[in-house]
Amino acid sequence: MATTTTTRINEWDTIHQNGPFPSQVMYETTLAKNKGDKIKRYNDASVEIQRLLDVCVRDGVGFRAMGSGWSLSNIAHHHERMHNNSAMNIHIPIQDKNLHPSTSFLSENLFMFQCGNTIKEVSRHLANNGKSLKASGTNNGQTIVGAVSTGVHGSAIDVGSVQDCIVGIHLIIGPGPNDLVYIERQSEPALSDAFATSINCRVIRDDGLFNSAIVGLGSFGFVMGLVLEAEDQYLLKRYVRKINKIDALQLATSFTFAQSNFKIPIEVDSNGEGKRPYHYKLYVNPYNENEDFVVEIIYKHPYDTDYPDPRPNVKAFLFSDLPGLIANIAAKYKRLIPAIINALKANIFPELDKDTTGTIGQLFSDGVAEGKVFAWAFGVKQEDTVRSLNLFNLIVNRLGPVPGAIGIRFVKAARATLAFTQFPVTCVLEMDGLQWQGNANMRTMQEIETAIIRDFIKEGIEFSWHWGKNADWGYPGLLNYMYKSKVDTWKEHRKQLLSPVMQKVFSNNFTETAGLTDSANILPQPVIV
Amino acid sequence: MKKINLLLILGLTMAIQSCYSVRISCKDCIPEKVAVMQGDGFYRDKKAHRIKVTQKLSFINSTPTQFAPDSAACPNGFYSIEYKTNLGHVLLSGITLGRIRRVNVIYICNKETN
Repeated sequence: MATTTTTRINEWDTIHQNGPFPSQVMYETTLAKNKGDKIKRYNDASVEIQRLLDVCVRDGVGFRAMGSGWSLSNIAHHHERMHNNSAMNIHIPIQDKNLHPSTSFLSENLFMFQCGNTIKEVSRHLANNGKSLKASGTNNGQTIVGAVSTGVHGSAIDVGSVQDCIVGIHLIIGPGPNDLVYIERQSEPALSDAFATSINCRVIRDDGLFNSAIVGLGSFGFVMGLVLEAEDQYLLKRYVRKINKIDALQLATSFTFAQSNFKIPIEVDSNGEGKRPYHYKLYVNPYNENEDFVVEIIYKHPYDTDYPDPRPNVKAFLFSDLPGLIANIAAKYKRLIPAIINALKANIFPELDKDTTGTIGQLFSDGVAEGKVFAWAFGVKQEDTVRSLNLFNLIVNRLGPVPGAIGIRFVKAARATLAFTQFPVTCVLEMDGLQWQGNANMRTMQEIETAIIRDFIKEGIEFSWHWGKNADWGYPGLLNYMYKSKVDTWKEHRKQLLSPVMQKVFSNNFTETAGLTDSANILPQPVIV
Repeated sequence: MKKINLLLILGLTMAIQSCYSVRISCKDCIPEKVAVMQGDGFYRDKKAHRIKVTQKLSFINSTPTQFAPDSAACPNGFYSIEYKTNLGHVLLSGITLGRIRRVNVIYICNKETN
């Protein structure tokens, strides 16, 4: 049977050292050792999670499952009890007999992954079956549930975020016998009722509830497993070039790749016009406005085995080569920051003119996070790209300079209720760098986060902030400005699904601060035992 | 005075040169991770095992064979192995004419596949 170790802890921190945050207990569940029947072991783990939830309910404490701790805030943290599910990494093959009679999905493209599988494990398993994820973030260390629950995105302009390939969610919403649920969209059923029964779930088919639960921020229950739709394996060809600002921004706001002056000579159609890429990303040095942009442009190609392993050449945009010392110097002598960023461009931006080919799992591969890192990322409408970039640039220059550089990515709209990639094409403006402490000469990181929100609201630019990044989540009215009535929809669906007691259990300081949950005003309800 | 400085620089150079580490990791493997992260860099989120390995070689057998830990330590294989030496290790090897070799080893196991 699955077993759980309980460790007393005083604090917990993210991989990027955005804490530490005080906490009391870390649970860690490992699967039953008897290899063989996957469904049996999977169900056995569900029983164990329900036991832990029962303990938490009885003790009157909160519970939160963490993924890999990659989010740069306290979204994965709970001040009482946390759960590490890294070892819960079963993957269950889906067969024809498991399909819903009305489904349009092919069984060969559907895979069920338990919560602790990382993106790297998912990609590896899919590759072994000749399949591939449709989209991925820049790296692969997040768990699939962590990535989906916080809306991790890539820069796939016609695909969307990681959560957009999810077609079924298995949630554990409490300790009771009726608390295992399998949720799908009513309009796109995937698996049969019999399959749901085999994992001891009752089925809910509801588009609205599914769309709310998919980016559930850890607050819709314990996400035990996800069913995802993959596609046939493909290759991505990546080019990194300098591009003049006018052409770069013209492409950014229009996607007119066929007519653009910027072309990759071999990525053209029979008429000599530029093909539409899979991925389009710009790197911007905020401290040299005359400098051309660096563009990372990726095209999709049929899979072929004849290509060199790209991983030695792939370098993540993670500031992994910059020691924390630089952040300290920068905070003390802020006038040096533009010079430092200019001097270290080669380390911060990807290497120019180095073309790379690989699968999605190879191109967006292992990243090493070193040092105390911050990251801001927020989505705006594609048509607002230029004025948003100008305003963002102005803020980081006026209130900074901030020790970091800007990236711009583009993502197709997601269907999740609280997907931050909510616009038809979302332009994601992001800035990654090293955390700094404010002083008499330099504003704090938090002050600049507040200023960005304030100034974008003041300018009337619609935006939505990435759930996994640093932000002033307590900014008054922020959520309603970003999501309007969608916030109420999300809350209503959560109330429909969770009992009052479990609403409290699955809340945390992050959701309280953001105004997504309000534990103080949830009426108590006797626990049925 | 100049001679002393020269010797000091030479000594420091040797000390720095003798401290090195080599890490080999499997690019397709998945490491075992920890939930409560500590430290910085490569090992921050990984379950690292640290051991000190001392090889005592006889005059007949001068080939070190077991610098790596037993495979039973990692039933699913190794994700990475790093060995480190320092000045003390180099001096020990020199004094004993290479008969005693000591390194610090850090290894990470592969996560179990299910």
